[in-house]
Amino acid sequence: MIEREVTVRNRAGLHTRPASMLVRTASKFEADVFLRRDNYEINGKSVIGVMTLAAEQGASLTLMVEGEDEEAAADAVAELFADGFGEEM
Amino acid sequence: MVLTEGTFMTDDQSNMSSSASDPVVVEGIGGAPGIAIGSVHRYRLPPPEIQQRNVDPSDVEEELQLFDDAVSRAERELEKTHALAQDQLGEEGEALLEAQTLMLQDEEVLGAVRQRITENHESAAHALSSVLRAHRRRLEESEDDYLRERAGDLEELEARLLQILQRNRTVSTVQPNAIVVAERLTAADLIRFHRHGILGCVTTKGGETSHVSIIARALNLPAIVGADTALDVVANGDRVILDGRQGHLIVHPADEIVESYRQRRSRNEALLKSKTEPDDHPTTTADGEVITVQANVEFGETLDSLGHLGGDGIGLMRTEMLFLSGDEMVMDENEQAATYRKAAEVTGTHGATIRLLDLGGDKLFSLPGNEANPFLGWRGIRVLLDRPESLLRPQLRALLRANVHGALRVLLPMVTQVSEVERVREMLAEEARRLDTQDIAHDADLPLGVMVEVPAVALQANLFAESVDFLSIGTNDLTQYVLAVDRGNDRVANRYDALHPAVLHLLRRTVEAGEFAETPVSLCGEVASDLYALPVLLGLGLRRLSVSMPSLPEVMHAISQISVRDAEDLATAALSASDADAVRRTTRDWCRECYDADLTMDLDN
Repeated sequence: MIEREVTVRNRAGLHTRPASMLVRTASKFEADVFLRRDNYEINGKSVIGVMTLAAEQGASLTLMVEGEDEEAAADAVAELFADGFGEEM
Repeated sequence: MVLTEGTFMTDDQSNMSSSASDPVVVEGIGGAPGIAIGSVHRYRLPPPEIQQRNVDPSDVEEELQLFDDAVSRAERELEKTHALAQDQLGEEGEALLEAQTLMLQDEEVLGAVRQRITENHESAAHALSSVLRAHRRRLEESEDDYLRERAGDLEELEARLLQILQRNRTVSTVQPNAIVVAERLTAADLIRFHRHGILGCVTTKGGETSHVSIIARALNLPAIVGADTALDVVANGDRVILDGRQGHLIVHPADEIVESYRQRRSRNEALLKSKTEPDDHPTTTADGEVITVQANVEFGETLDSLGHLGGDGIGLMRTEMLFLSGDEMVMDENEQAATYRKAAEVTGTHGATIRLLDLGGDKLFSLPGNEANPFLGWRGIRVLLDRPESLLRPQLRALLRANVHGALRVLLPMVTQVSEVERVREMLAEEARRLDTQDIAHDADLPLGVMVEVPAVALQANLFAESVDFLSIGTNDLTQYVLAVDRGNDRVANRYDALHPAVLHLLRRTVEAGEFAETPVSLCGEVASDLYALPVLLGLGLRRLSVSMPSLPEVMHAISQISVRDAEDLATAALSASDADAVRRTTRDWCRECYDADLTMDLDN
């Protein structure tokens, strides 16, 4: 199990489009992907779950990945955050 | 309150018809002809909060199925929107559609809904609302404005699914002998009700509903529209007579009234039957002119009854419902080809005129912002030429392929200039060549015609008659454009009349252009089944008419009583009349003299 801190960097926050990107990326991997904000934890393969994180710009989240390909999955998801989901930051 | 029929269902409005068994006549507008005698089913979508919360444990399986069906239906609808809109959506629209699709595949949420259905025996709608409400609340509590607004995306998902769930459930409770009374009905509602075997329908709204009449006619389903007070007067289970020609709904009719309507109905049926003999003679006027009378059809499914109706083939087959029926993605080239093939086969040598997709762009694509004037906007051929790969070419290919099985003709909607016809002709040739190289059977002998529905085409009729293989006058739209009247708008709809002399002048001009160029001219608007208008149309020189299937026998019968010589004088008078009312007064008197008792009885009682 891998745990990493990620930060929402893009200005619009984790809204519909980034949420879709995240889910599509996470779903490519076998590993289970979870995100936690404070005490609220959601499945990273559920787009509605990701949206309900209501993570605005600057929010910090804990990324938890577990499974055979956890390394690659965690990298891929963390990169999306680092890149601001390709949006204005 | 006295109720004689057995299908009464509880309804909170039922006490409104307290003077129960006294006969009441509700007046509306005749939407589709025919007489139906049955019991009332009031139809309205219940607001989500009064929905059934729980289901019987024995119905859990069925409820799960209902839910899964709704999800896959919603997915198909989204796919369809996406396929059509690809290049139209823009980045943001694309992202929203994708998110909606991902939401429909969100096992976390769908699983929670299924669990509530299975374990708590909740109804699918209730379980869905509960699950989504919890998620929505989190978004609504966000301090970020933008994220707070994302709650709307979840609302949209919920609304989409609830609508499908309710639609499916409500329709399934309708009794086969029902006459549906509703504020308004969508095309999809009507098709679904029809499949459940209802006898007729009544809507209280006149605006926006003219499509109800068109579809009801195509389905051969008696209908009344604009019956304002109908919902105040009828209760579920009330016995009613629906007279779709007069636009009368008779509530609690006395037995002798029911009997007289039964007789009228059997007389009409006998009339129909007499026209279905296989060696049907051509329809001729009293003075021996042969008139081609064709049918307007709407769907593949109504094609089956056409073989039994007589007539000279299909004068107008609309294809919009293939794209909008919402059940399947029929726009697929193969499925289109199968439907057109059926049209070709049932019409044999008479052939069928198929009109290319005639929709406003707004109906097909989620356009950012509505058009201020959709009637003057992106519709018909304009959309098709802008979307050759996704819409126009597949439809042309399907037609070329189906043409092997009969004699099809292609009709272009909303044309305003000859160059549009030429572009389609080029594409038709290209697709025929492509089918050649692919070794797919097709027949490139496909006459190409245009709708005369924009005044510009009628005014340049000479030019068009030289450039196309046939002209088809669509009086419904032509009248709206000439008189600047939207007949779906209650406030002005009474100003709409295809017998306005200005419209008649354009018809005359078009007929003359056709005669000069030897290009066939037909007329496919609703005015062709208006028995008072018929002699005017024949007098103007029209020899080809296309009318809704239920009107076919009546129209043929009326034509046989009209003398074209006399009708020409009537038409001359109509052309110089001052307005539509004056034309109507003249033609009404004329018809009373001309038609036999059977027809005048239908017109006047």
